[in-house]
Amino acid sequence: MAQKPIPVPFADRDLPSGEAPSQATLAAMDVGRWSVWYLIWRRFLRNRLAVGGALVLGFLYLLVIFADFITPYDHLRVNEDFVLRPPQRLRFVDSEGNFHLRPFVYGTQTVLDTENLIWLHEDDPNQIYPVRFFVRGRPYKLLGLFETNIHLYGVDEPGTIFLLGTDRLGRDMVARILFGGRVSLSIGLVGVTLTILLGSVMGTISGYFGGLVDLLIQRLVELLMSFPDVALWAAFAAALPPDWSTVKRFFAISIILSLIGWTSLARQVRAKVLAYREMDYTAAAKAAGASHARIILVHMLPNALSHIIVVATLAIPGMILAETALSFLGLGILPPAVSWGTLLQDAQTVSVVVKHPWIMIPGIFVILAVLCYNFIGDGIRDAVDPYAI
Amino acid sequence: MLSFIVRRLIYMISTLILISVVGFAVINLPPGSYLDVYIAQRQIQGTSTAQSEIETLRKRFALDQPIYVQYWKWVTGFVQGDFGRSFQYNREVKDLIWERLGFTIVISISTLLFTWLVAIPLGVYAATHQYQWGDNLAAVVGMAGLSIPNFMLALVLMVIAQRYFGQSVGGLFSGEYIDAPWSLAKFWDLLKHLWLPVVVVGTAGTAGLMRMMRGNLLDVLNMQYVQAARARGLAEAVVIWKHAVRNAIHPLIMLLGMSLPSIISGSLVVSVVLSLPTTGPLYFDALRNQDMFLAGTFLMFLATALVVGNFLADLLLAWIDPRIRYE
Amino acid sequence: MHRRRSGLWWFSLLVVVSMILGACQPAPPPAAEAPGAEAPAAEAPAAEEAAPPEELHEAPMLHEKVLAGELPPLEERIPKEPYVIPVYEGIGKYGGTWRRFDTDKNGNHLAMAMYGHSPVHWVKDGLDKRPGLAKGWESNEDKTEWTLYFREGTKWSDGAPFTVDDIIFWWEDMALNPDFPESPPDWMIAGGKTAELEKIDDYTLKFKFAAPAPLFPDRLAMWPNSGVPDNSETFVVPSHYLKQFHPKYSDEYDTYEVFDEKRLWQINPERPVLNAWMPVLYEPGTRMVLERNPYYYAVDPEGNQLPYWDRVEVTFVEDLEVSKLKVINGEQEFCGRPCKYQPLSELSVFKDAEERANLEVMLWDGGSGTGSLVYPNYTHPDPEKRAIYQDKRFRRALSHAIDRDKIQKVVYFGTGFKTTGTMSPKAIEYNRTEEGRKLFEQWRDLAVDYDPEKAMALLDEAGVVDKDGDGWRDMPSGKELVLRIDIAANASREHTLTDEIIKENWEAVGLKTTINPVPSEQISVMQEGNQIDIRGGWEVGDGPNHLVFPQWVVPIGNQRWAPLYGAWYATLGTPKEGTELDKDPMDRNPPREEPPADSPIVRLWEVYNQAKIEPDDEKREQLVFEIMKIHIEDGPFFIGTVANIPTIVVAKKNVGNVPKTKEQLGTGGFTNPWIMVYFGAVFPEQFYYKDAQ
Repeated sequence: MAQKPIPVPFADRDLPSGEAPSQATLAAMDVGRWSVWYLIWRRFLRNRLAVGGALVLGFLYLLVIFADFITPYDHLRVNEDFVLRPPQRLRFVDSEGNFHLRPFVYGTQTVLDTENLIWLHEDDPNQIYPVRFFVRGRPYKLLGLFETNIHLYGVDEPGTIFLLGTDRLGRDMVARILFGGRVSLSIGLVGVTLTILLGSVMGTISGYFGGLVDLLIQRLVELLMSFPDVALWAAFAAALPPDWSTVKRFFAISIILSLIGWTSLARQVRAKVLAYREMDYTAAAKAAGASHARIILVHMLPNALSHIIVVATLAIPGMILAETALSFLGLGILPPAVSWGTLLQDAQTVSVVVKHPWIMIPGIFVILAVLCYNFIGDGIRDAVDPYAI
Repeated sequence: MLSFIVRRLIYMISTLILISVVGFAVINLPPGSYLDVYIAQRQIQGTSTAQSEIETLRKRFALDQPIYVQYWKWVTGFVQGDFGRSFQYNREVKDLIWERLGFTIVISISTLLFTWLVAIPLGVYAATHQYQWGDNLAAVVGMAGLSIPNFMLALVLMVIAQRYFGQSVGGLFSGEYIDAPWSLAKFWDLLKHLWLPVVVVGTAGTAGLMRMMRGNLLDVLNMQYVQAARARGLAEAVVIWKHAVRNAIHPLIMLLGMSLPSIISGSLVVSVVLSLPTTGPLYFDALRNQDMFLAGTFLMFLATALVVGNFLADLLLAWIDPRIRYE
Repeated sequence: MHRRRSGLWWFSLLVVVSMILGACQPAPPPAAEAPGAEAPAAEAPAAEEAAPPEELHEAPMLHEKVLAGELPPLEERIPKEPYVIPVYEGIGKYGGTWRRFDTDKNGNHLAMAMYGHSPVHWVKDGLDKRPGLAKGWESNEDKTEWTLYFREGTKWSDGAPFTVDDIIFWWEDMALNPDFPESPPDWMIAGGKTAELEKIDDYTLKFKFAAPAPLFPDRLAMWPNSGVPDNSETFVVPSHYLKQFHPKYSDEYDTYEVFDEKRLWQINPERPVLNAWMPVLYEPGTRMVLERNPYYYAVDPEGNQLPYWDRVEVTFVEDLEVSKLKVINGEQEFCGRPCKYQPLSELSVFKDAEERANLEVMLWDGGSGTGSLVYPNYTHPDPEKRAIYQDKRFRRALSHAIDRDKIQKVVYFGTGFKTTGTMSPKAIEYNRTEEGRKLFEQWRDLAVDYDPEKAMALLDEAGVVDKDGDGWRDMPSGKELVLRIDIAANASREHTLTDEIIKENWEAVGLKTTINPVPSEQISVMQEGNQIDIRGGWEVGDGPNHLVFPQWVVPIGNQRWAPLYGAWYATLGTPKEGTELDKDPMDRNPPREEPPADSPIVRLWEVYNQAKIEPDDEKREQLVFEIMKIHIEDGPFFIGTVANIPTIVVAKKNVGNVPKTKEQLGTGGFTNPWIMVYFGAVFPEQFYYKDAQ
């Protein structure tokens, strides 16, 4: 139909002209052109905790991805002379008071106390090993692609540089934490991806189609939610064929973990889709002849996406903690595979708490990762919520 | 209202039946059976099990019959109150669970109280001082509690309590009080032992609850009736607590419903680390050892608790919030 | 009160010392009697069975009850010839409570501390036996008939008399009963037939075997005979109590479930016992309280009825750490079995607490023959792998590739000694004669050197070389070779650490190795189904002689290193023998296979069958040496690492009569094997509080 001209307010008057609008005003006028995502991004940046968390998390991921570059030691190699060695301090001033520009570490004097059955390691100030950077060490494949043997730091033989100490077999804790982090930090991602897929698909279908499909899916969700999860874990973990490799077990565990999480996401997505279904744009799309798939994929899911991301981000720390709990219960990843969960299992004795507390450091990494994910999730949620102040 | 209740009841019962079937199948999923566990245990202690013994035990545990027969026997017994016998302990399942239920409930309810008593005020404080340092501090503290792996925290606290305070850790009572009649001293002893599990489990729950409280309260504080109450000249405290918090608390009641099963099973990991005589480790062992009837009964208890808890929470919500009744 | 002062104290000390001296036979050192060497055959062993003391005394709390008329007087409660238990230090005082924190919920740890039901007791770490519940035994010339003499007047803890009817009830209505899941133990079977019992009188019982049964008294001393392990090995039961639940004697019950529940005192406090303490309170899975048994049949050398401690309070805890914290807080008087499971790395924590909690922390020998071991599955289902595993060069290579120094240093803190893997070094056969000692050393040193060069040479000889150039050795046919070490997921740290070192060692000689943790419930399924590749996470603890528990040296069941062959042996003489021959060995039930005629297994069986029934002790020992020689020649079949690791034992300083020296213990301790009944074998009934009132 013919369009009437849209009235423009104050079109019939002359407004006093002022200064030219400032840059800020000009920028603000562009606001109307900014996408939702950019808006969210700006709001997110204002949340200091969230930004801090994101930076720290990014750093952690960098550390674990480049684990074999960073650490000079193999995380599996047994160093029989350095069992349970306390962390070696980086020093700049030696015992005689001289200042060294290049940091160094002391050597170790080791004695086995046969009466108390404990290793006594003392820093030996007579052996000074300067820390060298970009040293050549054991060969590995950087990012799985490039053969190289350069490591970030190291000392000359026979010195050692165990910055976070060693474990019961004399293995470098830095190496174990970083390599273990590969498993722990990715198990959350793998699990969450599955959760997102399952949850959003099921929730959308259920909310969009309604009727019998909705009823069935809802019953399934209720069934799974009412199902005590410990039983699922125990049964599936025990049912896994005993000769599977660690990698296979790892993936199986992520799948099991994600089977727990998808139900609440499905419920929430369903609620949103139910609301969107009543929106005008859906009716318009239908009228325009869009297929179900198109409506779902183009109209509904993107709107729900921000919410899905929030839920996903907040689910990851749960999975990281669940992995440690499963390892503790003997159901998850088991030694000799390395993950933060198995490292914490190793730390679960009184002698560690009292005499070798550095074995508990992986716990700090777990706390850090979980905190960061939580802050980021909160930040995203606050940023996405259009009604927040 | 009545039709709502009736419909929900039908749903609940059908869900429970489904769960019993699926649960029973899941419990028997791992290959082998309790007999293999039994043989393995004897093997570790250095003896073998004669074939004839295995056969007799197999008959006694009815493991030679197909699984649906065993399921049927169990389910029909269930409604009569006979939950079967545990293989491991060779006692009635209901006795086993009943013995542990008391302590579990004590610990769980204490934890629940602790969590609520800490989280609600903290959440209110954070909401009313939004973005100030108090808010951030509360956020970090709450989060930290959520992030620490339970078992590690339990062990560290236990060691600290023993080494630096000379406390007797583990269990719920010290030696002297365990058989003594109730007295103030015994109650104090109980508290001395109770603080550890409550703190360990409570710290995790506090954070989530606090954040929820904060979020909801923030929403409510934007509502017009709050502004109106302030405009009427009511004291701030009254505005917050009498009007805003009461409305913000509704979704948290739903959470209460979902926490009913955890009251029954307790926190598994912490119970194992602290060696508390609760139902959690009993349940877990039953699952690991494929002690079919004990595990299955537990599972049904927990599922029933969850379903009933949800139902009660919905009822409560409907009663409190009239809007829901018309949905 | 009952206390004795100077004069008679010195007298009793003299009695004790002379008894101990009397026990040391003029026979060859060590001061041991070889089992069955009670030659001349007909006499009951005279070791340490002094004449009963003239005056008897009882604990004050019992004395009060006697005066109040609640209990009969002491002379009527204990047998005419009570069992005299010698004390390690001196006569003790009555009073006190023993608190325990056990990690085994089924009460097995507790049962292992109570030796009361056992007719024969091992003493001095198995170097010697002496009468316990029984007062003596004798056999005929060819050891086909044994007679056990019990003490007249022995009573159960509820006052009912104990007679040999209790044993007959066990035998006829439980062990021989096809509806009841306890089957006749193999030491009651000889020559393929079960023994016959003949009651001579109320306190004398004769056992008639179809073939010589020379190990009979030793088998009686094994295990505390009260339902450990796991509901078996009972032998002596209170028939007067249990008859009311037995379907044969009672109208109320027609299945055995309730009976089974009632017969174990660890879970049923109403069941009368013969131990020093009887249960009075039981909260399942949580705690148990035991009190002095007024009818306990043992006294100390001065005639004081044992035990000294009035009560035992047991709390069951799930977690080793909690148990440890309780001990270092001073809450446990004597920690034997639960502390045995504390790894050596925790010793420093205990030592730290010594002063504050007034503890004495000791290390007693565990007696392990191997430390953490590995064994390749001799009957592996894959024929190629089986060929390699049966090749002794391959197994020797595996052994030479292991760096035992490293393991000893890192895992065991330098304790123990390196070994290829044998039965416990405390076994009688290794210590009695020079020949035995030499053979033991030969076996121990068979492949103990850390020599990767030699290992690689042996592997090359066996045809296990790298055929496809990927850096890993392959099977002779060229197929990929991966060694998979199967261990239980809840195996202790000792095993996981050792296996990681072994994996490193094997990979250094070119053998690709993976460690496969299996949920513990599944590992026995795998073992019986012959699915194990290389088993880890176990040890050989057993002794004190090779024949009482020969599973490790001779495959007679499917639970060790040759499952299929062992299962074959186990079915011989049963209805299953000779059946299912047309099926594939893995499809049979149970999976079993006959070894080829030239296999060392067949030779082991032949020698073992002879040894089982050889009445002459010297000849029997020679047969055991034959078995050892087969292991030396064709072994190692199981590969050990570090033997005789100590275990932690903690006692509070104010507890007396705890053995502390090597001489008191016999050989320094033998805590590992369950058959040695530690810690019942150090007689906690004579522990006491030094500062009791």
